[in-house]
Amino acid sequence: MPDPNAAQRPSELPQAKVRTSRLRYWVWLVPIGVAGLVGYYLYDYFAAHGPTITIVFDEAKGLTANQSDLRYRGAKLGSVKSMELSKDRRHMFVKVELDKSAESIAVEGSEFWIVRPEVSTSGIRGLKTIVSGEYLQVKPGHGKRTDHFTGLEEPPILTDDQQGVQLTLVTDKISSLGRGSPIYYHDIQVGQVLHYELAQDGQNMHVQIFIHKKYAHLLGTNSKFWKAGGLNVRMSLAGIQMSAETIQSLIQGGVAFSTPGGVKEPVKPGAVFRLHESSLPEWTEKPLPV
Amino acid sequence: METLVACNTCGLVQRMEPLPPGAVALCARCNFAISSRKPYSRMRTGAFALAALLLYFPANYFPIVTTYYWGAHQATTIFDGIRGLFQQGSYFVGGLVFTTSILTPALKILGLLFLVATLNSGRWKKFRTYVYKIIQIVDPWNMLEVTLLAILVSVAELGKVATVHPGAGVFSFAGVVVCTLLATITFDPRLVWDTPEEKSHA
Repeated sequence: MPDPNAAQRPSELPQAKVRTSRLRYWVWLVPIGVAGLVGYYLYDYFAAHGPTITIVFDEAKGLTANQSDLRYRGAKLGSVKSMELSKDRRHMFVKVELDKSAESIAVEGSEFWIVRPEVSTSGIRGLKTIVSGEYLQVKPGHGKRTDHFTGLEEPPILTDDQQGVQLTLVTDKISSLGRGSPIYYHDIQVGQVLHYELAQDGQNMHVQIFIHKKYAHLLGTNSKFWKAGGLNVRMSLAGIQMSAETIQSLIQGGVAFSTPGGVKEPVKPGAVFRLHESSLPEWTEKPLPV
Repeated sequence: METLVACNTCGLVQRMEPLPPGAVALCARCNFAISSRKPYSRMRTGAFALAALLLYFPANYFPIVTTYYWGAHQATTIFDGIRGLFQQGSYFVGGLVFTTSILTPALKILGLLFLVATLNSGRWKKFRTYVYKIIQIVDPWNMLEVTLLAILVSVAELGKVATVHPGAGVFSFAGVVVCTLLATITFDPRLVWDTPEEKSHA
């Protein structure tokens, strides 16, 4: 504040010089630059982040929010953002934020499951998860765009878009067959058991099997299927003859098939066959030229 | 009307004419710029406070650090950190971090913006004084952001077991700190009670 006494004799004081200044508005460069930076952050964020999808699981064991990844073909496609309990407390809603590049898997028909370490007769799977924790895996579908999915409680047998033929086998007892049991053709694995269920009449079991495309030409309407698991023991005058398809089928069970007399008429997908308890000698005598 | 101004550099008291827009006064003896109020205080404070406000949102929304630990990654925002401290039972430290990194910057930025926006209005005169008082009380607590940086450093020290990447949040946060600091430096508190006529010197 000016001193009132000094103000009475201002002429004794020196006069300040005045100069024009052109740099008044430089300061506005700061908020403009900052707005640019924030814009870049937002662009970067939305360019890298795809939609958030919700997957419903009965059990979300092993998943951790902000930590568990969604993987496909070994690469990370997104991560678990949060997990919420449904109102009826029966399900978990797992929210997954997809990467921008993974937008195409948010379509109907995509299947999600949790990969956990698994030791079974068909092999050891998901060992990596012991160190990294459980993660989500996806099998992409081809339907319409959607954000809501129902997760699979168990990993599907076919984790890729594998081409092939699906058939139904009918048997009255399942024996040692199970999910993933191999299908053999002359001791070569050509497919797998997808799942099985009790038929509606309560008498028979329906076993869904999958044969890879490159072996599908071996199937004919006259093909015979039989259980290949376990030991085959034959006693005759020549002695005791024991045979088994493979070590794996000995433990895990399996299905073998042959097409006696060659393929007369190719099968249609979804065809139904009888699953025999064991093979007849004439089915296996003349192997087909592959 | 001429005013008397003391040069901040050499201390010479001198007369100064009312300045035309875009002009700056220089000391008659040492030639440094002089002014009765901090130059362009309103504009500069407003610009820096606005910049700080813009940065405040990414600073709190984006992760401060992303840690990779044995293949699992975790992005941590300031708020996650505070929640973590509360969950661990460190209510005091959690409250401190909340106060210094979320509450006080917001109060300060909004307070400065309010002061700058209402300087010419005669209506808010008393309220402006309260706001300025709050800013004064809050200001020293902002300095504790240094402790937050210390926490970050200790997190980064885990480097041998985990990989730590700074996120967009930490740069924004540093920007908030710098911009609020500049907004405070350029703010001339005398503007709070100056009459409109005196403001013309600012």
